[in-house]
Amino acid sequence: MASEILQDLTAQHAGCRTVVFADLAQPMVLLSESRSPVHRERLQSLCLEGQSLLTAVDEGEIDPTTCCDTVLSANPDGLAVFLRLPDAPSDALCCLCDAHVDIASFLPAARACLEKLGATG
Amino acid sequence: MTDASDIRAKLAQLADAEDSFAPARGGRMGRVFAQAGTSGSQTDLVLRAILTLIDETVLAARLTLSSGEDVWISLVVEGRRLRRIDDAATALDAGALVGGALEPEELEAQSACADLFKRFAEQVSGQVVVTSDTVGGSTNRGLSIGRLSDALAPGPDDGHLPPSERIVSRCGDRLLGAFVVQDGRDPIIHGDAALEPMLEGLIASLWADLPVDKSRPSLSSWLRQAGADDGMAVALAHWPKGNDPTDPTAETVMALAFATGDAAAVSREFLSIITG
Repeated sequence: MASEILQDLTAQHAGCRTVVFADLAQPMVLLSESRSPVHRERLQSLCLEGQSLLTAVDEGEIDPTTCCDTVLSANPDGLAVFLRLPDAPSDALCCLCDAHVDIASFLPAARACLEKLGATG
Repeated sequence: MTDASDIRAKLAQLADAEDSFAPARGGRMGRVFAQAGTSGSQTDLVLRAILTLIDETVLAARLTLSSGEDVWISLVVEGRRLRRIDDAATALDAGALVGGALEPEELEAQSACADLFKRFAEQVSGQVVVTSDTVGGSTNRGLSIGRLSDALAPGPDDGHLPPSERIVSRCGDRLLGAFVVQDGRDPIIHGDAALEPMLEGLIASLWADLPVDKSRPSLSSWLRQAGADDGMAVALAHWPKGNDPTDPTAETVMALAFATGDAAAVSREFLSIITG
């Protein structure tokens, strides 16, 4: 069920290459889906990157009503998208996308995907 | 036993359907996917319709787009990507593109595909139709519609400007404020001066430990997506030495503020600058 949620996201967004559902508290990979083989170490480093970036602007205890819940990280390889649930901030989605991904439509779809995964957990 | 009223209802439904059909090349019937005209905007509509066709094609297919017998082009599309130009009318001058592999790194081929589509869109008239045939999968990676879009409408000719000025210029009113730091120079402030302390503080507090590859350009944006579309997003952009044509020795760090709803557009402009 949870793996199908990730598969749906990559199937519906051709620009999304890899998506990881992660526990940022550890941090560790809980589930992943990718169009091509990706080393476990790369997935783990993606989680660490997501943890560092998502918490970078936190000030003290997280306020679920105002905290940052999304980071977009662009570089010449493309776009990494990191999302967390404001009321369960250790649940996160880390995505690697092509530079030409349709960001505006991908962001709400990725958020909906994370909310579904959070609800199944 | 067949219910005649059922058939009539289905025929009525088909007649009301949005899709319409017209003769295609070779005497077949094809689905009308665009209506060509003579103005530039109608040429753009045909180009957009071609990109939509590619984006909607997941299983491997040969799509033959035609307008009459003399203007046609045949594409192999799979996984929402243009894998190959299979054939084209002589008048379209597809040349060496026909049958060649299309790969994301081959910028000349992307540009040649865009030019071929433009010639097609300029030469069609009346109804433009598509027929589809099943083909085997392709081994080359092909071109996404994003790459084709960029090749069809290249960004402004601003490569001679410092990268921070390019992003300010391209984002326009979407940028609420920006604070630019280059070694040995006074900071440059754009937009709302009231945002200056916050943006300067963002660089001071985050840049040193930010987990990004500092040997390459990067843009990191922080925003609140859930339930706050009208909020403000902040970002840090970085261009290492060698990226400013006006001063190749300069390293640039820039803090930006924009509306949350503009985060996708700002990232898109940045990616367009660093990958263009």
